[in-house]
Amino acid sequence: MKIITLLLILSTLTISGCSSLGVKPWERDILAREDMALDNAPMDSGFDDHIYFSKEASSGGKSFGGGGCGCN
Amino acid sequence: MKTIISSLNKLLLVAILFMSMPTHAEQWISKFDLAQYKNKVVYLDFWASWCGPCRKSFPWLNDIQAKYKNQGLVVIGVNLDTELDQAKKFLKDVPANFRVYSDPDGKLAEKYKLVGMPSSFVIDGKGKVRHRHVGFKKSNIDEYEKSIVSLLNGLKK
Amino acid sequence: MNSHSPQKKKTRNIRGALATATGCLLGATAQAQTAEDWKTDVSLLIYNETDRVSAFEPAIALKKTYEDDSVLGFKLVYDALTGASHNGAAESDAVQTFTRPSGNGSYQTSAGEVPLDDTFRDSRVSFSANYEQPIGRFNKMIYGGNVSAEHDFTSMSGSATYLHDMNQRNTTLSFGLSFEYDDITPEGGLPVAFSEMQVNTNAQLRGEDSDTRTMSEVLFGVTQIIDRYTIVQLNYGYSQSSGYHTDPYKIVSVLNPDGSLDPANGLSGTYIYENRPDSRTKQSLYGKVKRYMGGDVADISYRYMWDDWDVVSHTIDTHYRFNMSDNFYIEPHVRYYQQQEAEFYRYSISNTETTPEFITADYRLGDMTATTLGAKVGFMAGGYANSVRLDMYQQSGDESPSDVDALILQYNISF
Repeated sequence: MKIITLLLILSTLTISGCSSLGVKPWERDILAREDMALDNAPMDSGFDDHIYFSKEASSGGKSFGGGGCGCN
Repeated sequence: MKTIISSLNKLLLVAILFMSMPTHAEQWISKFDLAQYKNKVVYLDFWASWCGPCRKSFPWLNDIQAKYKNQGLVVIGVNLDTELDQAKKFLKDVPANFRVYSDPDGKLAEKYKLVGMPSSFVIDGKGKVRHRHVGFKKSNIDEYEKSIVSLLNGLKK
Repeated sequence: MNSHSPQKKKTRNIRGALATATGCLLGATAQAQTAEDWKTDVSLLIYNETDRVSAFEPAIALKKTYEDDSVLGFKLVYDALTGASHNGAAESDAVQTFTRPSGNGSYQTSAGEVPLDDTFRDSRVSFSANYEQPIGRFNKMIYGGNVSAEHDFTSMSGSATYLHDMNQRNTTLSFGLSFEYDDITPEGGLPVAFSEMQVNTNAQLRGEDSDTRTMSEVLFGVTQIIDRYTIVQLNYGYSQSSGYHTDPYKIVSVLNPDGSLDPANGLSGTYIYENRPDSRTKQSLYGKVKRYMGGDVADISYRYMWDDWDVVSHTIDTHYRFNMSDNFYIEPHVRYYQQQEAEFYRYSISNTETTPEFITADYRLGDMTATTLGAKVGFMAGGYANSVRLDMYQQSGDESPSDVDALILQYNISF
């Protein structure tokens, strides 16, 4: 619960408090680069998620992936 | 002597310009001044090489410039690349048969308060912005065109 | 930089739709592709553990962006697994004999060796589809569906995510829900919890043929553009699963107080089938920073995960992409993972203690650290973006079953 509160505070700060954050619509040249996409190698991350899911006790957190397997 | 060299230079320049003409149909303007286009309808389009929908809009911009040129339409593409080379590279791939103006610092973009890319402003014969569009969607082409035609009809004959 | 390579233009007419997808050049903008073309990614992964599991996984993903900016994607993955996997039993200084999960046949583990079931063989097919639908300029829905099947496991899942852009698109909020349904049909049937493994000539104590598990998950996210070069992502995830969580193939050694084997049921030792709780609640916090640095791109992510089994884990993952040219990059990768064991994890138990309510000796639920070190190289070949990566993955823990070394080799081509 403490962590949820912290997260809420943090996100509120990001959204409202810091209006200086961010760029103008015409300043997105770098951010539009393919290698600046948050997940710019989805095939790699798909494989990685599957490998680490089946070898470790943790999974998820990033986005909704491709479902489970019988390995864990 | 000086004048000969300078005129030779000019000649060379003209020759180079001429030779490169077929590949560069766009016409770079060095100054943006609406007063120049009195009694014309100006379609001001802000674009950049990295902007996907901008690429899709160019064939249409070429079409309307050709179609309504005689009725007084002037299309001006304001390029917002920080490096002009990027814009020129883009135009080799996606030709623009209209005027283009480089605004690397975004001064004009700031003045027009862009909220997205691309952004277009349709300006009437008196220099007043009458319509604005954000983004480019093929499904909205008719609407864009209507906004131009209505202003063209309002021009003094 | 973010321009469109001339290669793209050249190949487009010749190779048609497939070639256009090379718009996804190193450093080219994804949006630059002409709409209505399929972008295809083909990958092959080889995963090889020293002395244990090997996997061979080809995958193909197709993606198409429509005129209205909606995106449709499909992905098919095939996974062929062979090799040996730890059965849960403790290492011993005597030879151990185990009955195979099917109940037919047996296998032996030499003294001082990690007990591995060498009959591990499976293939898995997974198919997923997703659809992105923009709603106006500032909202988007993403729907996903997935089906996967193995000979003893079937999984189906669906998800829906809502995204909202604000602050001139500098902030994106997301809220997602997903639901998963799994069906477990182990070879030889479901073992009865805590039942003792019998010699293969005896009947094993088995219950039903199959069981199920469901999982629901919510994910809240914020992404924030900091400046022209930096983007930050923050997620909170909550997932709850209920049903069968036990690994039907895993056993736990029951030893004499001095640690020696206690012969029983026709075997040289005593082994009971593990039992896990029938529910699990997991939570996670995930943060990622990505930054453009003078032509290169760096990213670092951190995940903190905890659950009601007492598992707590930290994951740090980082890449640094050196863009050597428009068409060539080298990207080193480091990942560090550390987990705290589940409260019911035991390497082995003694025959003098009362059996706990839940127990597992699966090293994947024990204390563990894991490191991944590797690099990826991306280049253009034949007008297509290619990349190859090699990662070394190393797990270690308190006991020998946790010591696993693996190589991950992957090749990608984008059409």
